[in-house]
Amino acid sequence: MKTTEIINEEYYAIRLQQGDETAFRYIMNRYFAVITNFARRIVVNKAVAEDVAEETFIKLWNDHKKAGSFQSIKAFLFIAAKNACINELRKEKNLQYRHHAYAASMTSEADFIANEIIRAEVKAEILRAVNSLPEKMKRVFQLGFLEGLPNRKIAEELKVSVNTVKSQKFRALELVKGKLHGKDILPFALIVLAALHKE
Amino acid sequence: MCGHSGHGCILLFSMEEKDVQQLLQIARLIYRQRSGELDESEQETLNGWLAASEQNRSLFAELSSGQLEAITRGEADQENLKASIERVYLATGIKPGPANIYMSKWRTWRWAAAVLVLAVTGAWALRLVKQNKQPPLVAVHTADVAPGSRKATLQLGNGSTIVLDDAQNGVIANQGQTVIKKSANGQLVYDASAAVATEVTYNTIATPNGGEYEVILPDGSHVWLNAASSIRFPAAFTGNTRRVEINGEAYLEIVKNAKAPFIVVSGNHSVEVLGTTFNIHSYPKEDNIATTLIKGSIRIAAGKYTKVLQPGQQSLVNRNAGDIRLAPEVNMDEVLAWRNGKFIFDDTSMKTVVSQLERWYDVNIDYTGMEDYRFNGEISRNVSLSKVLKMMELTSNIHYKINDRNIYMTK
Repeated sequence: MKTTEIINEEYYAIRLQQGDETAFRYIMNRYFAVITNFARRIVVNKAVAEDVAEETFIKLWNDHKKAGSFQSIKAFLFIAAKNACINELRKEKNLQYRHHAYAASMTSEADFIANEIIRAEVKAEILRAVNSLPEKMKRVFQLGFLEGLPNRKIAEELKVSVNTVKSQKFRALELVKGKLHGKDILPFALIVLAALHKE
Repeated sequence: MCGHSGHGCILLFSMEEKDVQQLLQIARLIYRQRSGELDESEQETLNGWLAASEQNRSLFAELSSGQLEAITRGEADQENLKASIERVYLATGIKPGPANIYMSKWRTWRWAAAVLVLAVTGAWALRLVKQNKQPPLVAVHTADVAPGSRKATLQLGNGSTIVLDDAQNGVIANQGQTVIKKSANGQLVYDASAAVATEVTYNTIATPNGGEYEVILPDGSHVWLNAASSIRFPAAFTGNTRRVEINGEAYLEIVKNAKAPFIVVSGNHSVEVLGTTFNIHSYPKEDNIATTLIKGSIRIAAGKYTKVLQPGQQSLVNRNAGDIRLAPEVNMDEVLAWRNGKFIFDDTSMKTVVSQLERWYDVNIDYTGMEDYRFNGEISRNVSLSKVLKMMELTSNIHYKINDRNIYMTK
């Protein structure tokens, strides 16, 4: 029978709540690196940041019954990771924030953390958009929207015409928009139904 | 890190889901701005956030300029985190496999039909929301404080502490033959059915500012703790009295046991009960301990004085003098407002209003020069602080400013 990939993330949230391992793997794919990099900007050490991320996702799995919307799962990950980072910093007094000078320029540490959450999430969204594109378009999208190169430069780099770049960029953007918002086969209300439909 | 900014630390630890959700929303707006999808109202929200601080503007400049590759360079991706990811799967017992869920076409159609019904309901609900003309979520963010929630710590007889909001449901500890469980709806239940008279272990449950909690004691009595309150009690009641200590505010429903009267000690005052429901309000910073009887009968004792209360009466015991007075008028709704999830002010003094808000929202409020103001009104306490302050603004001529967790009232 023909099947379709579910893109609506709220569906994954519901399935996680029901203890679905595929849903957990989906969230791992989407956020494990994001959380690790987030932690790395707060604690110095790469290994410590990895510990923080591991701890965070194990906690997510242990608490999966409490999962709400996808948005609240994200919030859970950031809060758990932030708390774990702070514990690490406390444990080792000589550990410093990696961007200490940057952090000190903020009016408070909370602002520093708030900024880092925004930064990490913007990156996560961009990453998601890029990963949803077909291979060829991915490159145009990366050069155009991530590296901010002008069309002329992209054309040079990929050895295609400027018009090709323009149309590829346009189609990539349409694809990303459509995939991520609304044109998904299963709209928002699925969430409610999925909650009732355990399997 | 906590050294160079005093209050920053408190904020850091109290960053709640709501705060993070608002940050995630901002991130989404920045992303949509990058991809050119921002609509007018979103642009407005984003502008509000940008106007709030220089930090916000520089972060935006960095994230929207397209130089993201420069920022992400050197960062870890799925590939070089393989070992770490494997450890998570090992610890959770989850096997590697597909990371996307697929659904058959005909089932999606079945969903789609049901979805239509919900979409209509949703559109209707949305219209209701729009009619209310709420200010944009994010505009409020930089200057608002979320309400309190269910949280507390449990200190066991051996001195170890359990954070109850993090604890999983089910059995969380054993004290002698008493089993301590956290029920699905978040209560703490002491099951002492198997307990015999042995050595007594004391437990303390304490709520922070911005917390409340519900406990079922070993004798089945029910206790609700308001913010910044605590109760100390034995893990099993084995003697011929049931004795607990309370600080702060609590609402108690005591199970009747004529052979073992229940005694609440607080400050210089004690309440003796057989089986009854009452509210005790006893914050160390306040002069009076107010005990209000809802049902049954209780005897108040303070020093050499005692007094028996009738339902509907409230005793006031001065912490220093120790004499017992009866409150001339008792507004039961006001006394029980916190149990009903509300603030009710009935010609209530500024001082009382402020101490309630400070405890529930975990803030400091400066009201210098407005000590003699009084307030009337009723509002849910599950709303953000600004909503409560707005109500106060409407019913008097005060104004307010929120700066992190400090609130300044002005005339």
